[in-house]
Amino acid sequence: MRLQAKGIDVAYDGRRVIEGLDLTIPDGKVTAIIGPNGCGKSTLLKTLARLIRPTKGQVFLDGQDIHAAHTRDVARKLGLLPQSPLAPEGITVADLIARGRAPWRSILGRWSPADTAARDAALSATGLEALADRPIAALSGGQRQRAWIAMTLAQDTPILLLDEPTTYLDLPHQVDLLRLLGRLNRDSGRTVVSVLHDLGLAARFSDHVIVMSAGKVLAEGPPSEVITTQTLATAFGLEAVVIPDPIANTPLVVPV
Amino acid sequence: MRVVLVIALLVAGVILSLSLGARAVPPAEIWAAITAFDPSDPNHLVIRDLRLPRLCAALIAGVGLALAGVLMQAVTRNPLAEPGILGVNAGAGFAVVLGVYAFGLSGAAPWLAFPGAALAAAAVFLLGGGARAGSGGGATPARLALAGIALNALLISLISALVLMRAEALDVYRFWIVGSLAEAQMRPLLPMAATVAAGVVLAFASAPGLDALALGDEAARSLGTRTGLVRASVLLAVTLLCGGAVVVAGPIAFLGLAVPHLARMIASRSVVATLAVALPLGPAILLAVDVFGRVVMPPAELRVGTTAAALGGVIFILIARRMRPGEVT
Repeated sequence: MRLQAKGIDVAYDGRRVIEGLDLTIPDGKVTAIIGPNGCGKSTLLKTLARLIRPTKGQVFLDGQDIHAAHTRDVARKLGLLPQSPLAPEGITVADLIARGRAPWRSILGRWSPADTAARDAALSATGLEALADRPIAALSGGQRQRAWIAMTLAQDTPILLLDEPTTYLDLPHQVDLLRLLGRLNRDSGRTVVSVLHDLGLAARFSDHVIVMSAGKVLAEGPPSEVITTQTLATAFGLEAVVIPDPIANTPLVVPV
Repeated sequence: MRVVLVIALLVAGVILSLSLGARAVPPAEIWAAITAFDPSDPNHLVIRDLRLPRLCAALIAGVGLALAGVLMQAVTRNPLAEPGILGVNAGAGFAVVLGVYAFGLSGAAPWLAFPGAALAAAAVFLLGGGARAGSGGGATPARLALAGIALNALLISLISALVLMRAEALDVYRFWIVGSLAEAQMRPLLPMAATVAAGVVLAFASAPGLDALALGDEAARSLGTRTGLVRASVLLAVTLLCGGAVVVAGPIAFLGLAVPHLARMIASRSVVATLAVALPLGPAILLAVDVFGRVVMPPAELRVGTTAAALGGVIFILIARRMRPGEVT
């Protein structure tokens, strides 16, 4: 397994958010991290992406301590889409995607045919070809989020981490985006890990679910084993019945 | 195509700057004064001793302030950032004046411009909340601009106090408060040209990192950017560019604000392209402003800092009006 955390403690703003956490991200699968607000989901994702250094324990990428690795080497293996990245004023879709090539470019920043190929592949994977020359500011919320995912795709990393990629999207766009992530996983074998809020969507569109509660992993495994009345009560304090989704047979949460 | 126009503007500025003034010298004679210098010809003397140094000072200051403006706007993600408004030029000027007037340094004083610029840049960043900057909070455009304006006013008043304690020529005051190219022949042009050149190289080297930083710190870091290293190299580049510019021309304001905005209209949005356009555009505009100040009310001349501020003030208002309300919080 390429991405692992062993015995990590993580503090954020002086407060300990994660304590003694062990985790292995399954390769080539779609993983969802769920849990109540403030349980440390985003902090965990940032720690896995090397943005936060754990106060104790280590994160391993391909068997090497991620903080001992070279910044650029990490960026060629692991991409992270933050929760609220900034779009520079006036930037177009194609230019934004091109910025995802940063870890592959030389010191002088010369643009190579491989960069063009990666940018075009990201445009077509996200269905944004027709919008390539549009400014980001002129796009709808769903299109904008696809453009950011395209930028992370152009980074061409085998592991993709996304921090709440569906927030601020309406239901059809959330479904659209999660289908896109599933397609990316099936077509290229990428490992996809997202922090998600919607339990039903997490169950429906993931192979593996990690439930966090108060800085610890409460349960992990296939959605049908993990999303149960018991875990929902413990993690979220939510009284709910779990029934099979009539379409996909995945767990469906019905609050009592 | 538009880049060709910028270069044509620069060439025109160079020729006008050499030929116009209290004594007009025809362009043909300029060439002769450079290639076949005749010490008995007053035109040749004017070109060689006054106008060439003045031209060189304008090129150094124009390049330095324009590129520093591009870097500062990119690193702070603030369209109002520039070395004049944020007090970096005043910091450089204050350090030099303090060296001369308080410690009696003469030859070494210009070099104090560099620690002065670096300290002012670091101070405005800290005062503006830069140290708390995550991807969201911390330095907002308005807070940074206000911190800079306050620091700038303080430093300028300190310079005035030091300069006015000594009843020396008004030229000294004009130079250190307003900025001027009129005494360029007395400035250490060669070492400052070398310093600004080093700043230019460092600016271009920092450009890819700045493009990544524009996406926010978290995105930049996950793209493999060492954000601390980029910020440190930008600080060093700004120090070299502004320090060199201030030593040859004084604390000229607004050029560093106007040029990056014009350059972005001409070039694409990437920092490298903006720097490449600002490189000829900065000196072209400074020369145009200087020539205007020399011909507008002869035989007196307007100091270049005054004319630049008059032009830049208008541009500042236009930019501030164009900014969407959400950008200044």
